[in-house]
Amino acid sequence: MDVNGPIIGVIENVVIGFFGFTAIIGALILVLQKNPVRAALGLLLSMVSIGMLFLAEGASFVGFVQLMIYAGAIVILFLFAVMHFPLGRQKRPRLPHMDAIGFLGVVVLGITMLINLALIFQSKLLASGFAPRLHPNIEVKNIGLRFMDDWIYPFELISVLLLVGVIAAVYITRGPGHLKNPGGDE
Amino acid sequence: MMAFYVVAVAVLLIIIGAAGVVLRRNPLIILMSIELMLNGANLILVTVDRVSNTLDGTLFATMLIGIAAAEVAVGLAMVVRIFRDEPVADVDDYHTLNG
Repeated sequence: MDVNGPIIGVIENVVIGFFGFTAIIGALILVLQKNPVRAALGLLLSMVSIGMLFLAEGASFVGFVQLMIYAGAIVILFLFAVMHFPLGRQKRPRLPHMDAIGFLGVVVLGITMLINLALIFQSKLLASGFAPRLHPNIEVKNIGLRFMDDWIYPFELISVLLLVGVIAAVYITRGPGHLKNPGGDE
Repeated sequence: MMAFYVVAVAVLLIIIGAAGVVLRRNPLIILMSIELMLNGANLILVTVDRVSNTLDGTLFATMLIGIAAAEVAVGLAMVVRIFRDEPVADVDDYHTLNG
């Protein structure tokens, strides 16, 4: 099956251009919206756009993982957490100099990263374009083989990290007092 | 050229996420901005991986998604727990660190 025809290349470019734009729009909604629910929906737009960028680049496995884990699980978790929070109760004014220091830090970070971006553009490291895409079956097979081969220790450590994360999340949410009277819920 | 465009989008996402972390005061939005920055890093990894035609960036990005899932679980648990003791959605009002 040929998945690298000339029409595919044009569609790829249009899709990448569109979803790159919507990723930025979603990020701006996240940062600029006062309402946390709308901010979470902006995050959802950004996550879905990034997943579509992965798919258009030919990284289909990580694209679908992005759509399932981020757009499907993490944003929903955020929406549930938003329901615990009151809206519009930020009454105490912020320390006056903190915003200026933070803004200065963001400006310095932004200038540094944009300089790096200009250096990448000048060096033409990315000018060669994307490599020809593989059939998804072959790509997923290669990823699985690599995970079971030379990436086996990081792969297993991720499972340990997730287990520790689950235990820590339950412990932190319930509080240490619950361990002293097992069986007693409150 | 499209690869550079995607990397530029990722850099903008990281800058916007950093602005959200520093300038917003709702702890949930700060966590979401951290997720946005992680996603920008992911996008750079996968894009450079697709240009160089190795699989290492994709593998690293997959593991980064797992790490981000663990991070968001612990972070949200901390935020919900803090909020139970002090029901204000503002990081400037969180001034206790005792266990």
